[in-house]
Amino acid sequence: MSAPAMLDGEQRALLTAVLERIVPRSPDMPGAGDLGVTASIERALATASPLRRLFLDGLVEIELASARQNERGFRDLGPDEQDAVLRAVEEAQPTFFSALVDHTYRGYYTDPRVHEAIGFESRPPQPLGHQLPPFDPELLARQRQRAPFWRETS
Amino acid sequence: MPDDGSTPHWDEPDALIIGAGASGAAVGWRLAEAGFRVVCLEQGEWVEPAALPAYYPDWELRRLADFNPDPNVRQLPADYPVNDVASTFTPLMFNAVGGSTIHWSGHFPRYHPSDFRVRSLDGVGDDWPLSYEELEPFYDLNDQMIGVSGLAGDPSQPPRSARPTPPLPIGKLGETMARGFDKLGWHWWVSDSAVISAPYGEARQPCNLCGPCDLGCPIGARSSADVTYWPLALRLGVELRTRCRVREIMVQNDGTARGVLYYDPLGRLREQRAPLVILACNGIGTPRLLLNSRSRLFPDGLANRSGLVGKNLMFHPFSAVSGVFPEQLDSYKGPIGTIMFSHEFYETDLRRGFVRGYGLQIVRQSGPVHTALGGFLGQPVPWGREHHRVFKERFNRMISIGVMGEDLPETINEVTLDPELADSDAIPAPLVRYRLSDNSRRMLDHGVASAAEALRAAGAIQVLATSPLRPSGWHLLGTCRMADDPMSSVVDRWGRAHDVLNLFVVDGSIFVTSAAVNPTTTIQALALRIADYIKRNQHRGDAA
Repeated sequence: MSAPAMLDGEQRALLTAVLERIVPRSPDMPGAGDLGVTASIERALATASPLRRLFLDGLVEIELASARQNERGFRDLGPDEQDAVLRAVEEAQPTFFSALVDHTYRGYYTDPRVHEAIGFESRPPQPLGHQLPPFDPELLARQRQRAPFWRETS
Repeated sequence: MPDDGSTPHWDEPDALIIGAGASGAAVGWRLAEAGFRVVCLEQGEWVEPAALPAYYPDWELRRLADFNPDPNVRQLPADYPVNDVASTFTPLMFNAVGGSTIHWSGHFPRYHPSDFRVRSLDGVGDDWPLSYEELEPFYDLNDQMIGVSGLAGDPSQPPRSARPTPPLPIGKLGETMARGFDKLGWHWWVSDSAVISAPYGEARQPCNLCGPCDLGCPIGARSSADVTYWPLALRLGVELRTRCRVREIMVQNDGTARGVLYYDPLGRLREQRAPLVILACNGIGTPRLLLNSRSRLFPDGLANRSGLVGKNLMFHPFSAVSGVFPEQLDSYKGPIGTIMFSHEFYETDLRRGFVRGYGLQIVRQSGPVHTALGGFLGQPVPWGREHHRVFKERFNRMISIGVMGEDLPETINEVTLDPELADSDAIPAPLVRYRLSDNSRRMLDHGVASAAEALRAAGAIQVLATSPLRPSGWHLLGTCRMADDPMSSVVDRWGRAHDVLNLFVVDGSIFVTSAAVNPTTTIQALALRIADYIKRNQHRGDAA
């Protein structure tokens, strides 16, 4: 069963522009908007109606704050103006904003392209596990010289 | 390991255990070994190894959903809600065969001898009605039964037997911390871990250092109760019924327990009678069940004539401190929470400004999502222009320290029943009230400063702390405390309810004080000791 579209075209474009400021593009890292984190957030919204409500209302708040600060839509602003709008929304709507950041990070940091860029082997922990050198008992040489210091009770 | 139909079905068991976690599994095995016919009722199910998050690309997201340690976040059918609004710490638990050992990091320290003599030595809390020496053989037995890795010789504790398997690797992260502690002249030692480092037991693989023990161990390296005691107990004929949630314990006219009423997997209310009832539901589930078991003889809840059922709840005062290091540390490789520890500040020294002490437990990092969301500290990497710089500073370059202090019993910290909240079977849910004492606050302040000093000595260029750390209520203790005096305790030194002679409690509820170490080692040792008492006294088919 495919989830119904959670956002209309305008909302989707707005969210993508917002995500690009939450985790912006840099010379060696993709931005969350460019990467397509919008789609993973839409999937999350499809499974939880309170979250969907929070996001839909939050996106309206972003456009309202943008209009208040700049008399323009969020997507028409420069990066500095966009960041200022988002800081205002973070202040006024902390529940929405922390959910926004949280879900952006969830989508961004599960993407194999991001894993490659940060030098993290993109695979689940099992079945391969990891390798570390065995414990070297010599590391405890200084500790072994210490006299027992627990309290006797009998 | 689902029921294959080969286990017998006991209509008239000798003992009924409620809860299939760390203590229920141990006591079930020990009694079955002595020939007892045992039935165990568990509200959760078997965890299927192949379905565990560690095999799947979205493994880190499962930690935020169905594998979250907070039952209020998971909200799975096996879970019951907990009203924790009035508690400093969020109570954490898991409901399944294996109980909370399913999401357990497996750090496996013992109590110190002084932990059993808190009143005599330091004038606070109460002494235990047993000593370290009395419990030691059961610590040893349990270590052998479940498989522990580690190294004997730690000067902070009494000598102990050779560990069943050698220490796990501590990696660059551990070696870095070792240098820091050595530089300060502070104690550290490699942890006893309930994780096998070499072949041990049946159908278990040694740890392959995959990392997130808290998401369940799919290879059976971690010694959770479902892969240690349960296979043995089932082979001895213990009948384990999953998805069976006990509503209340029934009493008969002579004031003994008759058995329980429970909901079976189809939601039908059933009765199971037994001459002996053993509670193993953890420090919140056990008082909840007793308080829900009201009758003419016990109007305030079963075994509650002292009024102490649910009182004296102890977690461990807990803070998280993390250091950021200039080099990569393989921070996400190896068991997340069982590496090494320091007991430099464990025993009382009043010059520090508080009574009793704390331990420092070294903790690894997990994957990129965990790092971005703030890791152990719960302090997310900032969004915006600074994001990539801060993420790169932290990812794979952090070492965390859990500051775990001793909690002392206070009757104002308690588990009661919520007047409105209930589980999916309409059984009233627990309400938890807990506030941090002034002594605990001073202890945590000292502990955070010590942890920061150790991290800096190890080379940290930045130190971050969250104190106290709210989602740290892993240890649920003290709510059916044991002592010889029926007026000041719920159970006696053998876990037997003073008021109900065929009712035993074997989980963390019976703890008198919390010590400053993870409790499962002591929970299981006590459960084995109580099982031996039951065996010796042939509490089989007779009430007293």
